[in-house]
Amino acid sequence: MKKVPLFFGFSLLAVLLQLIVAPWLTIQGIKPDFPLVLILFVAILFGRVYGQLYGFGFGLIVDLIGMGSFLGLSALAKTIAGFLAGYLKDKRSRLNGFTFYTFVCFIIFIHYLVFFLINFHSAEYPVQFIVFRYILPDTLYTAVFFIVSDYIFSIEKI
Amino acid sequence: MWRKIVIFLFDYHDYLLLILLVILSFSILFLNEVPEMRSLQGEVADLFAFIHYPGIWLNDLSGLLQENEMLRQENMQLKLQNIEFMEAYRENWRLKRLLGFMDSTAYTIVPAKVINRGTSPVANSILLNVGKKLGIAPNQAVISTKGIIGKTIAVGDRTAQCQVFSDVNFRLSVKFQNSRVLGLVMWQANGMAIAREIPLTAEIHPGELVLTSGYSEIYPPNIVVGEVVEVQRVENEPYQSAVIRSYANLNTVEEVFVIISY
Repeated sequence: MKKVPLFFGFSLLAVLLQLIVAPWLTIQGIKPDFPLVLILFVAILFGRVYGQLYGFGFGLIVDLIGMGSFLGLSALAKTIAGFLAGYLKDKRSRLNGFTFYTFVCFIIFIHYLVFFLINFHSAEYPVQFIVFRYILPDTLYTAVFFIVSDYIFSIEKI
Repeated sequence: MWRKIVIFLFDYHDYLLLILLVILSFSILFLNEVPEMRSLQGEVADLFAFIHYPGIWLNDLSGLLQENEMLRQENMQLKLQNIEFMEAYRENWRLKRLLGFMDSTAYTIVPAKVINRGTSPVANSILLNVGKKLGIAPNQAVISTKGIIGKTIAVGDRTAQCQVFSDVNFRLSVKFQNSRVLGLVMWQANGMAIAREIPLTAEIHPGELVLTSGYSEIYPPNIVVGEVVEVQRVENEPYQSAVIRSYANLNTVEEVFVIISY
């Protein structure tokens, strides 16, 4: 229960970062997803159930304040990301850094795959275009912020 | 039997929860067009708008805000009138009169500032610092001095969410100024818009101005959209496409106008 205010604090921080800082970090339309980084942290620390619940709740908030054209899309993508990241619970110390971060990148990739394929379903973009123009750059950019956050806060020690 | 069900639920509770949350997410996705949903989105965006106000306040510290807004409003109205006049010259006014057309330049516009560009990885919408209190409602055209920006979709008391022209799900009915042919424009990933299925008989040329058609309850006629940069024809196809460059820079626009009546 003591962690509840901490959750709220970090959630608010992630929202503020996304609203205020992320636009400044945007490169060619690609920006980091701070709420996703936090969801991955929560899921890796607390497992699949908390990960997906937090992903859904936070995704819905992001949808509501984030002004996406599809309400519920972030909730869906982040639920899946939270669920998948939950598999990495207690694995941080067992896996070497490269393997662990590869799994994290894969989860972020799945998150963006779900997000962009639904978001662009009515557009006539080829899938490979969506993957190379949006999904991969967003995945790598967000992964960098995850790795930096892990380096600063260290999941292993929390 | 019940014991088995309980054990099953316990063993697979995380997977069942995932299925439940995915179904819930899809349900919300399918309810997107319900006005109550959009209204809720507007209210929540309103709630979080306070985050942006200190920055706006600092920008407006000069004290000339009101005068500036009035001048911009006047400027905008003059520009719109100018476009109307240019259009009027190009059209056969006698036929217009015969058809019972009414000239209308009485746009009621509300100036607004862009206070946020959203958290979404793609630029779908922008948040404006005007809302219901200033007469803003969903489905009102949003323009800048350079042309069309988008339309309002969710409105709170003090903020309004605007779906921008560059959203891939945005469609706009347009007409080509010289050829008078109509088209439906959608955004493309290369930063240009495209109008497809234009009959080959229509003579469209690069540089031709593209305007809103007026065949919409949202967008008044003759708002500038952009200009034709390329005409694409495919052999044996009965239609051609026009690639359009938007005059308004949708990524950097800071000040816009909401047309609340026309």
